[in-house]
Amino acid sequence: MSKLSTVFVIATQKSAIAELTTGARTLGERVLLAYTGERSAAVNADTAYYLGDAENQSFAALIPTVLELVTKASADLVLVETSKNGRLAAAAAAAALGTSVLADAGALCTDNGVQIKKMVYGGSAEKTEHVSGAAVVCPAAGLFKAAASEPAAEIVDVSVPENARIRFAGRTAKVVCAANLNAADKVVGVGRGFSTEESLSLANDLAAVLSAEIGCTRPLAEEEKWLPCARYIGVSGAVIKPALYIAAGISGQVQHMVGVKDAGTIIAINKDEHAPIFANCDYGIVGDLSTVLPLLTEKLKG
Amino acid sequence: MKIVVCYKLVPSAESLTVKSGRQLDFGSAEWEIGPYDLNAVEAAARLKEASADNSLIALTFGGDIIENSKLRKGILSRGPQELVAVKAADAGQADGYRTAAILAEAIRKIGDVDLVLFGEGSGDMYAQQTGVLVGALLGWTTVNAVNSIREADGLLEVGRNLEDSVELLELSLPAAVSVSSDICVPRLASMKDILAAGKKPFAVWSAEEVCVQAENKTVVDSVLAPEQAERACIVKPADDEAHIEAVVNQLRNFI
Repeated sequence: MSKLSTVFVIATQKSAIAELTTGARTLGERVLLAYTGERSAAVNADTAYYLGDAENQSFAALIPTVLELVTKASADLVLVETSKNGRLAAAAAAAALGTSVLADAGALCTDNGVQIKKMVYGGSAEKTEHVSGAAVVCPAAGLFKAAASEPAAEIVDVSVPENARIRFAGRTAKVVCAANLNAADKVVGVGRGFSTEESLSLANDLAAVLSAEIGCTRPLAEEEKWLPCARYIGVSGAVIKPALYIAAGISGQVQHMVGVKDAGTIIAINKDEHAPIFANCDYGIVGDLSTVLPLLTEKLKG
Repeated sequence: MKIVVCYKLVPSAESLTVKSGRQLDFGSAEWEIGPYDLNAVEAAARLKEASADNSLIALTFGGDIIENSKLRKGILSRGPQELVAVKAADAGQADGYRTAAILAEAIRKIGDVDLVLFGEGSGDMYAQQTGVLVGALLGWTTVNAVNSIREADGLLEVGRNLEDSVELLELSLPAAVSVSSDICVPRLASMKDILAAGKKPFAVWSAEEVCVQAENKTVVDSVLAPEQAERACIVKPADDEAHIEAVVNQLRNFI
């Protein structure tokens, strides 16, 4: 692959800065970075533009300044961190460059224009698409891995004018979910089959005896709010590859299953014998959660 | 406040089948309002209902499916007072840029719009880009990840639900806001709402009359179903004791 002339990276998180600039180095002759957070986090860049720690302002308010830097750089490729703020910056860059954002790229190739692959139709299919000319890409998690990093050759402090249209009114840190579903090798997933929040204890007991983490489908996190959003597994949530996945009371819709399709062993429990999950599992038990879960837990303890 | 809420009609993922060569078959596809768009429509309806001075128009861009009366009533029964649909035969192949350019022009054509709301992402492509791209093309105050929204003294107070924090912002109008799916639970339309929906104004504009210059910037090379992992699918009823034992033995391997 011949290298692009200039790759411009936009990121707000230290890990993303390291990953995206590592990737940028393989793709472009010159790497530029616009970033917020810790000033010293700038790595693998010829010039790094520091826009402050963004604690007492919204990153959204900084975007016009980021755009000026991007357009001045005549970048062939803009690589943007796949976070909420990143997606906002990516759209602004795409509008300025007159292109579409190539979002959630699971693969990236620059042989013929900039080509990516991404999941579509709730995970039912993978789309391969490309743009010619300047491209804006948000890579999927894990596309680029940080390699041994060297400090940026130069850091430029950029003063950001006040944004009259977006006024910062406060920030509340979130209690970050202690669970890291991505690191768990055993996960018990819970779905709509659980009719009350109390009944989730049946799944918790099984998970405890297996030392497994708990994950869930979207409705339990977003509508019922029985579990934090970080535990939601699916196309718009966590995509995990545990050695063992137990799907309890989960029907097996594609939007959820795409989150566990690479699990080693899938065991499903559902009272509906026609649930789609039974076509996507290794072992399935057709029965009531309130009978099956305690039965499995008891036998595993014994 | 004159509010517009955008939505997309999409084939439901469950209704798609795979034919030979890992191609998707849309033949028996069932069409629905994008699930994430329903949250935006609900958020928009609540904003409209918060003040007698507020109005709400629903806007969509699509192919023939936009004329489907059941889906039209599906939107109009959830709060919007009227519907504008921009139609193009090739809407199904439109990329984010073309879609955003057309929607931005339609919003300009509707005129005097203060706020446009979008869902987190479309139900089919889920690039999470069209809403914020429309805002960028319009040059309006544009934010995403919004999980709370309130009008106060001509400004918009929003909460943005980011990965590590929730930030509170005051936005000047006009604004383009992409809401997160946890903003509110969509209402179930009542029979009365559905009947009233059939009488609400509904306009169809052609994509040409709205926006002449809006080509795709992306070329689709392929859309293929993934290689299916072969699963054993050993499924038996819960009263099959030998089966329960077999499953327990599998699980013991992991302890």
